[in-house]
Amino acid sequence: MPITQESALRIVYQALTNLNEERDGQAQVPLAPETALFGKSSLLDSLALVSVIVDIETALSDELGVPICLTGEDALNREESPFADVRSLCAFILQLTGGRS
Amino acid sequence: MAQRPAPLEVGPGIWQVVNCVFPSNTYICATGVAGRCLLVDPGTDPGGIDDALVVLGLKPLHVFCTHGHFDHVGGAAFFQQKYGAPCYLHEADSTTLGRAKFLLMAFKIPFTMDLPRVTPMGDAPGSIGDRPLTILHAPGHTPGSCMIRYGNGLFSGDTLFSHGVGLSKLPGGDRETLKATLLSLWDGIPDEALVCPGHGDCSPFLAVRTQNRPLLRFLGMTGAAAPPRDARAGTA
Repeated sequence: MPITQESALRIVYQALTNLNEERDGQAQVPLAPETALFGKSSLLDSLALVSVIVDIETALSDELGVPICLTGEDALNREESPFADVRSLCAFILQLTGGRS
Repeated sequence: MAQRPAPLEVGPGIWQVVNCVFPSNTYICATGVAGRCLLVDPGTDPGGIDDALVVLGLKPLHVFCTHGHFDHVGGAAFFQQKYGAPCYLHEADSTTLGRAKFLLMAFKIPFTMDLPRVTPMGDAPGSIGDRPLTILHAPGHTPGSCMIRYGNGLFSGDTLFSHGVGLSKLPGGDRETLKATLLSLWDGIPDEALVCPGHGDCSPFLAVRTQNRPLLRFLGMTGAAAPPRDARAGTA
C-alpha cells in the first residue's frame, strides 16, 4: 500500500515522539508541520536529527517492505533541503515512495 | 601557507596522518612492493594524506576502510580516482557508507566527499608483498566494522582504541555486539601487535590490555593489573 500524506505525517510524528520521550519538558519538539528539523530554528541537535531520520527510514522500510533511504544523494543535492521541517520531509517521503498527497 | 606536519612514523613502515577538518587517523603502510603502500581509513584531508604520500615516495596499491563513517571513508574516492586503487569496505557497512554525506550535513562539517566504488572486504588479497593480510570482521561500532592485520600493525578503526571504548551514539552501533566482538578476538591478538586506532595514539596491544581501564571495565575484566589470557575465558 502506498504511503499517504497522513501515514507519512504519522511516521514522522512517531519518530519525534520517540525523541521527546528522551527529553525533558522544556526540550520537547512540537508535533506540527512547521516544526523545523534542521537549521538555526531547529530544536534538534545533529545527533537528534540523525536519530529521527534513521527512525523514519526504519519505519518506512517496515511499512513498505523494501529498504527506504532518505539520506542519499537525491536528498542532499536539492536546492531546498527536505530536512528543513516536518512539512518538507513529508513531501520528500511521498515523492521518494511514490505516495499520495 | 602553513606547512603541514610530516607524517609520523608510529612503527616500522607505518606512518600516521591526523586528518584536519575532522580529526581521525589515516595510516600509510609500506608493503615490501617497491614504492607502493596500503592506505587505511583515508579521512577528511585527502590533500594532506596525498602530501604525506609524496614525502614518503609511496603510492597506494590498496585502500582499506575499517568502516563506513565519513571520517574513515571521506578521502577514499580521491585516492581511488587518482591512483586507481581498489577500495575495500565490508558489505555490512553499505548503509553506513550511504549515510556518510548526510552525517556531514547533519553535523555541519565543512567537507564534501564523493562516495567510493567499494570492493567487498572479503575480496581483499590474502597477502600483499611478502606479508599476510588478515581481515577480522568486528561488528559493534558499526555492523561492518573490521580490523586489519598486516605485518605488525593492527588497524583497528573505531573498534579498539589505546584509550577508551569505541562506542558512539550513531545509528548502527551496538554496545553488546562490540563487547562480544572484542571478547572473541581478544586472545588472538599478540601482545606485540601495534594497535593503530582510528582516533588517538597507537600502542602495543600489551599496553592496551593492561592499561586501558575504561575498556577493561567495559569488557568485565577489571581487578587485575594485567589479566592473564586464560582468566578471560569465562567472560565471553
